[in-house]
Formats: sequence, C-alpha cells, structure tokens
Amino acid sequence: MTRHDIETEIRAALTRLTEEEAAYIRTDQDLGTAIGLDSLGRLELLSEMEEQYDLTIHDIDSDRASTIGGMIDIVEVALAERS
Amino acid sequence: MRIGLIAMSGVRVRTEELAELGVTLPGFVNRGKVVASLPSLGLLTVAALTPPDVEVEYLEFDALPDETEPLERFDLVGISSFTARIEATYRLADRYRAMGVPVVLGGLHVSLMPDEAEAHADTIVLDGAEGAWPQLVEDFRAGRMKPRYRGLRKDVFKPGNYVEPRFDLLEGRPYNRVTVQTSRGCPINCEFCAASLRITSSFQQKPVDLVIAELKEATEMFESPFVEFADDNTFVNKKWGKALMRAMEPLGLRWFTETDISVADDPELLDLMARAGCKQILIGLESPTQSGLLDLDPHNWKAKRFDTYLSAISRIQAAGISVNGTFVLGLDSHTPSVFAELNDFIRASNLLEVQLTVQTPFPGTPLYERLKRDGRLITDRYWDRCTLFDVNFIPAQMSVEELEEGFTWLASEVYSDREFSRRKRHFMDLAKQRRAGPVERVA
Repeated sequence: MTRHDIETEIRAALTRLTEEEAAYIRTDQDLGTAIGLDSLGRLELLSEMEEQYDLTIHDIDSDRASTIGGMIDIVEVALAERS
Repeated sequence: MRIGLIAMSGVRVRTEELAELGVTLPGFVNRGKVVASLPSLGLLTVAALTPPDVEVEYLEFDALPDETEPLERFDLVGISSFTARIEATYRLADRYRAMGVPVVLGGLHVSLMPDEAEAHADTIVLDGAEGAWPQLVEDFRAGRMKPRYRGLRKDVFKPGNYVEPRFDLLEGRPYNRVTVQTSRGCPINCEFCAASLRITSSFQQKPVDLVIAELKEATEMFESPFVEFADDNTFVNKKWGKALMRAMEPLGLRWFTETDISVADDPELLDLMARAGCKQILIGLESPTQSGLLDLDPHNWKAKRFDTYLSAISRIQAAGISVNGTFVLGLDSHTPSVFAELNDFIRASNLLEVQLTVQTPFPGTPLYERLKRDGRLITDRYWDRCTLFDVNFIPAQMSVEELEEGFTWLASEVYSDREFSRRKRHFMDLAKQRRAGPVERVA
C-alpha cells in the first residue's frame, strides 16, 4: 500500500462525502477552507478509511486530519500498527 | 450622514486555572470561540432598518483602536452588546460621547438593565430594533432624539416590520460562519435563560420563504459557508420545521442550531434535518438527574423529559446529527455528588460534544431576581464575570469553592484527550453503521 494509493482513496471518499471535486486539492490545503469539510466530516472520512482498509485508528487526531497529507499520515500509522 | 454600528463579541474565561484547561484540553473553549467569531445579526438588522440615504459602517469592537488612539468619527454610533462585555461597551460609549459623537446602546443587557445603560448613552433601544430604529434615525436627523425607544416584542417577522438583514456588509470579511435567525424566543422559558425570550412577548417564527431567501443571500458571498441559526429553539413547531427542511435540502448547506430534546420524537423530522445538512444541534440538557431539573421551567417540561434523554440522544446521533449537550452546574438541587454523576451521564450518553457551564444569574432573569431577593449574589455588579464559567452566587447545597473545584475537575475529565477520543470513536462507529444500513435505535 503506497501513499499514492491511500491518497487516491481519500480523494474518492472526499468527493463522495462533500459532492465536490477533490482531485485538485493540494495535499497541504486545509479541507475546511478548500472543500467545506468540517470536524465531523473529517471523522466520517476517517471512519471510511477504517472500513476501506479494515483497520482501527487509535489516535483520532481530527486536527491533523484537516489536510489530505495529514489524513494519509494517520492512515499510514494505523496500517503500520495493524501489521 | 454616517452611522457606525459596533458589534461586541467574545467572552473570556476569567479563572486562570480554567483558562489553562482551555488551552490544553480539546473542546473546552471551542464553542466560545465559535460564538465569538459570529457576526452580529442584530446589527445587520439595524443596518437594514436604516434609511437607504444614510451611510452605514459595520465594525467589530476588537478591531477598534485602543484607548491611546483616536476612534473613527461618525455622526451617530450604535453599539449592540451583552452582559459579559457590557463594561467594555460602556467605556467605549463614554469615549465616543467625550468626542461629541452621540451613542445609541441596544441589545439584551440594555433591554434588561435600562436605568444602568442610559447613563452611558444618548439614547437606548429596548427589545427588538424593529419598530424603533427607523423612528430613532428620523428623530436624530430632526434633532429631537428621545432618551429611550422601545422596539417590537411581537410580530417582528410580519410584513411592514420585517427586514432582511444586510448580509452584504459581511462581504470580504473573514467569517467562516454566518448567522440566520428563523425564530425568536422559546416557550420552555427556563429560569436562568437570558436569551431572546426576554425581549419577546411570545415565540415567533419566520415564514419559510423568508428564511430561504436569507440563507441564499447570507451564504452567497462565502466559499464554504457554515450556517449557524441564531435561534433559541428552532424546532418548536415540527410541521413548520419539516417544511423548512424540505425547502433547505436543495441548498446543500451545512448548519448548526439550538433546539430541544423533542426533535428525537419525530424520525421523519430527524431524517429531513440530516438531508438538509444539519451537522449538529445544541440541546440544553442542564442536569444529569431528574431532581436537578425540577422547577427549572414553569411546566417542569425538562424534568418530565429526563427519562428520554439517553434514548433521544442516541436516536439523533444515529440519524447522523451530532448532539452538543449543554449542562448547568450549581442548580439548587445539586450537591457535590453532581460532578461525578454528570461525568457518568456524559459517558453513558455518548454525546459527541459537551458544553459545561456554571449557573449564571444574568441580570433581568427570574433566577437573578430570586437569588438577589434571597441575598445569594456574591456581589452587586459582576457583569464581566457572566462568562458561564465564573461563580457569582452562593450555591444552595455546596460552597462556592466546592462548585469551582468540582467544575474544574469535571472539565478536566470531560475534555481530556481520553474522553474526547472515546466520543469521536463512537461518532465514527455510528457513521460506519449508517453506511451499512439502518442503525438499531434504543427504544
């Protein structure tokens, strides 16, 4: 599983959740400003990632999940914990 | 002619220890920050009530120069404030009046304490601006402004009285939330409530088409707007609520409001709210025990509802709407055991967000009158301590110190990383269940 794979899944989930085009958002861009994803939306997205990769995120840092890059980091840590 | 309309915002936690907790614990001051960053809907309404040939400028108090710098000059200044910032409001009003600029004061505190406020103003506006402001401006231009004007206490949304707030004045400003009002007042009428019901004679609801028009106007100029309804209890009338939700769904907005626990009685309404973009509702749960709710409102409505609290929260959150439960500590029935009881209740409820407050006798409320009559107010004038976190009265069944220490302990528990993570985990699990299909609901 590469960072690129995780990023693709996150962008697809973002589009599903917000019904906005997520392909052009920079990985360091604030998702609240860019696409209107609030703290609850970030939790929903993290739960989608848990389901997608069959993992449990123990450190639910919703502040860190405010960018695509931060979300990728969180999922990577959870994947490493699982393996 | 130029009128400066100045909004006071922001409430500070005065207790040092709580301020420190606020810095280190997630969630503790978030709601306060959000409230502080909301534009003043009252002043946008005042601006709309101003004759079109008068220039209006909307200003935030925190953006004004401090006392060492001169203030911008206007022909007339209007300041809307609330209790916790009223002392700063009076100082600002005094500065303007010293410059020879006439000052109008309005807002909830001014309406409830008019004799105090008029010492710092050329005129004061009591109750709503509707029915008062146009006449005031006309009188000012004619050089015959009266010391007091009383606005409408009813029919504020009726044709001839209603105006759409000047949302255009917010263009280019860094707000991430916009406010729209759908109703004024609340029929539950809790003893401590210092909200809009104190300036209305009855619960008033805005026609759905006007709310939709305001929502379109208010959100037009922002990229990803989040709407905060400036209501005290949006869904009193479920039929009206459903009509509003159906009309809102196509707008694709995200929004927050305050209401009561009875929204959980109606699955159709909950479904419509979720579809219309409701992300969170704030509900005044007030106390973790039924006895704590007795005599809080004239009909003991909340006490009668207590048995449904946990199942109702579960149903609302299962619908995809998070609940921000607010609690008042220091009610007369509360003993020192209330802190542990509330901690247990919050854990059992799985509320996503929690707002802890200390009972606050805001001037003009029935609570204030009762505590004053009983000699239980610690000082006569404590307005800048009306932060919802400071103790300003002698509790009935514990000492002031016990209330302060218990509150601090509870805040450190409820807002700990551990508990915050637990609540977020529950919300994420509910999201998974929703995606999988209908969530089993607690009866």
